[in-house]
Amino acid sequence: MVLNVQLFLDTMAYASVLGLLSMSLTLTYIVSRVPNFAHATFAAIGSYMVLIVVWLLGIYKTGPSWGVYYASLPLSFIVVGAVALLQYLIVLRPLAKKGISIDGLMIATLGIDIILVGLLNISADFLEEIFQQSPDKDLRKLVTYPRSGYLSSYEPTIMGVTASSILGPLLLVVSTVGFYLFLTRTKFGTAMRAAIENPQLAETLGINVNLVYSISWFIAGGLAGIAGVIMVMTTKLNPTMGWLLIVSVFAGSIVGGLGSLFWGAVGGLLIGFLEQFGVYYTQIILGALTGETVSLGNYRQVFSLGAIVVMLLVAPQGLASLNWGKILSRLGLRR
Amino acid sequence: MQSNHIIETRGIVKTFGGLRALDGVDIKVQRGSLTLLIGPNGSGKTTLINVIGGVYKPDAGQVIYEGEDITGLPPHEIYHKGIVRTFQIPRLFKNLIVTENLATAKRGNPGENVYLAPLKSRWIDFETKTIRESMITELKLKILHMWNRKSSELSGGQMKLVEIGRSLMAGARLVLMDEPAAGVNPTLAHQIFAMLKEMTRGLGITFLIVEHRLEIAAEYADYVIAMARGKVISEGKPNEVMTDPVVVKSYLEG
Amino acid sequence: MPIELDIGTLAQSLAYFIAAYTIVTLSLNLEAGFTGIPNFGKHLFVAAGAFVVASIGNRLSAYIVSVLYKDEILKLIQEDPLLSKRITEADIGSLWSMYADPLGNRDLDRIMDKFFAQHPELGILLFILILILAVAIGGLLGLLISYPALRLRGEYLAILLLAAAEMVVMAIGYYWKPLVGGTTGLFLPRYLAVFGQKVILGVTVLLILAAVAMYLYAQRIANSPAGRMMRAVRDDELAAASLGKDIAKVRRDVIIISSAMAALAGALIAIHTGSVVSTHYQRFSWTFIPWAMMIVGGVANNSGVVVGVAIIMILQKFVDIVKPMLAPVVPFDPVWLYQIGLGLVIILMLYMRPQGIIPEKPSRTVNFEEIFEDVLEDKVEDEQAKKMIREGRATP
Repeated sequence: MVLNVQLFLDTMAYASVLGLLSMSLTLTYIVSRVPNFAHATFAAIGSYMVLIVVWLLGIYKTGPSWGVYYASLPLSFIVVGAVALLQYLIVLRPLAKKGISIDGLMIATLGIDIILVGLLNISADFLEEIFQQSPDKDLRKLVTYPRSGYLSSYEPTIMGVTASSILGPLLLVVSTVGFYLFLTRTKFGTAMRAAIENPQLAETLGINVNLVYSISWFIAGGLAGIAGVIMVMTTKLNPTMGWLLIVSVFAGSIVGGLGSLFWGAVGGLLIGFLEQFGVYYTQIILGALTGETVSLGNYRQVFSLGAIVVMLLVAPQGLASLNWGKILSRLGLRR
Repeated sequence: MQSNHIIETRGIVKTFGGLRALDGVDIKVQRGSLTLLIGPNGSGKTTLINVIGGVYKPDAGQVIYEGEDITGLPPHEIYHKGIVRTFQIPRLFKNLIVTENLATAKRGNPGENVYLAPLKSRWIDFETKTIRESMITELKLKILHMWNRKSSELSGGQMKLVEIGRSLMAGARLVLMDEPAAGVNPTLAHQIFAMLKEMTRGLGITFLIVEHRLEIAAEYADYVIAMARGKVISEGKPNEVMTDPVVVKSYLEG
Repeated sequence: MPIELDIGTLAQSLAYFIAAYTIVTLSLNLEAGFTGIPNFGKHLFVAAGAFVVASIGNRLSAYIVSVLYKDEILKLIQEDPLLSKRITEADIGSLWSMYADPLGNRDLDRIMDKFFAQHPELGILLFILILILAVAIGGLLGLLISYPALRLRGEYLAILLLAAAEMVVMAIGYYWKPLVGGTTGLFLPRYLAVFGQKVILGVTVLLILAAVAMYLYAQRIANSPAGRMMRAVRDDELAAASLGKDIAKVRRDVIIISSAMAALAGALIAIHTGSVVSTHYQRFSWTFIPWAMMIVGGVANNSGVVVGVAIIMILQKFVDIVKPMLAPVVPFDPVWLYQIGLGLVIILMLYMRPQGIIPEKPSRTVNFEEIFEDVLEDKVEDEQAKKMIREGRATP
């Protein structure tokens, strides 16, 4: 069962990445009513921050270090938060004000995605150039990293467990609980809820709706950024790493119903587990049937797509809309 | 045997999340009449129109049209039975010109089959007649001078006229209208109702109209049905209903 | 620094790209521009056409040829120094299965090419058969995807289509080798040996013909009552349903037709390239760029689409030409600037001119002006009133 423990730990990291991304995507959707197709590329930017930290802090020389997290978590929160804020202020808000339809706004976010991937590609070219020209022998070894680096070799372990497996869930729980407390216990949080639920009314009550929306976009981007930090520990660095991931992120948000942050986080987590365990058990079953080793890791998004289709057809408002009391009592779990 | 009533509802109930918008509504509408549906805000008038028009499915009850049960049919099938509805805020096709808006309403255009549309000879005659008919309708409604304007460029009153034009083009037997005179000046409102009245006589179309502006509408109406809190509270000749203390009271409360 | 330009090659490649993108963008315009179906997974349908040619087409033609012309194929194999040792007469029946693996693919292709050089007429027949197959399967795929599509609101539909496309192309296309050889790709036999050495030119001409035909076809739909109905459905679903339009059926029919069109383009692109590699059918190339072309040229306007395609393709060729000049100056690949530029173009167009360069026009089913004059003549007697109506003024 050793394998299963490792699988569970890997899944924890991946699933919490999806939890963070689905939650933050849901936040932008609640605020702007447009699915942000650039969201997974936000995470990719966060991933690149890890490479930059590994390079600038000299971690490539010293090997695994907590510095990876200390430096890249705040850095990517701020950088990606700023990117998201700019997207809202420069692109989405002016377009929405002009009365551009939702289709137009969606294609605008696809455009932003292309721009961001272009910028990541340029950065990757830059970094390759810098690493290649460096007199430092160790740094020259990083030359392949900007397009296909496994940065997990620089992350520390806690009692033999990779830090991302513990840090990922921790960050997800902290941000979910933090959001909950922020929205319910602080004055600004209350204003934020009011601005989101009824912008016109909030405006007349003197709440600066635009400020609230801007902060929401910044936080959503920041969360996507830190998700990227964890994500890069489970996968290969690449400018287009967000393109397939977006399927899973949307799946998580749709399962959560695109209306509640908490359910967004739950949806992302569930999708993470569904994909990993779906792949794992399908491999075992197909392996037993065919008598050969089957490797399906590359097809994990099939499960996400399935989840999207089933969810949209069965409960388009997501898990959040289901009557849980009734379901639990039917299952005999609650009287 | 054909009944005198073109449409009839029996015990219609419709709830929205616990709120009973319609609570057992029975109405009968005389063929060829101009019948008004009145009542304070939230009395369920528009909901009833929506149930008859197929936008909502009722939780209980039946809608009988020409003796046939049409309860719960989707809107496009209701249309094919001969019922057309207009909306309180005109829902025109905003990027289509006025003539196209009218022509779209025409029933049975063979050119609307997406697969066979490239075969022009299949539909050209029908279409020529349709466009001609649309323009003649525009002339009747005094909007022919706007025939090639995008419908989003029209004034509120003109939009109302285009909507009426569409129901004429549809060849409807029964037209359900949601506040045809809302937001237009009194002169145009009178013109609109006079036009509708003429259609009931000339073309035998029945109108079931939700209207707030009784001071204008009453003189054209044959029959009035008053609703409050999801129920019919009074019905009869216009002056009878409007002076009915129950109706007056409901408006004061509403 | 002098740049060497081979005008002939440049023009030919430009013509090819413009033709291919015209078909795809016209099909996108039927869905998104006319009917309001936000297809964010267009690359799936283009890929479908190409994948059908490579996976089904290759095997089918190898099977047909090896059964019908067993002796000739055997002879060709025996003449081939590499294959003669590996393949015996008994293997001929299962020869097609060599297309399942990218290595066997090359060897078999060599034989097939020689065969079609000797039997060009059979090549043409198979080419037509495969084209029909690709179009049919593209349409079926459209029918399949339309089932969930009909029930969903715009943004959910966009998500679903994008997700389905990414999954099929980037997961199955990349990694499931039996389909189209994964990221290595598959070669296609040269069906059109009839063109001899000028095969690329020949296929380019075919593509141009197909693009012209598709343009005329799309124009016929746009200027028919069906085109008007599609625009009505897009503008207001509920009002269209209240006027008897079966929204679900309209959307389904349009999705089927445009999926078939996109698959036709995909199949012709594959034949032109002579190979199919799944990495060529990405979101950027076959969803994003067609959207950019449509938004730049004109939403719900077929002529606008052609203008948009031409502008963006000429821009791309321009980037290709300046690239070698720019490359030593900037420390990165200038192609990224093109991508970033396209992203900016879309956003700026949406901001400044969302209707595109050539805006939407009414569906010209008949000669409106003539009927208008007829009606005036027949129904209005007063000359003054006629004049006023003609000038767009209300009569008292």
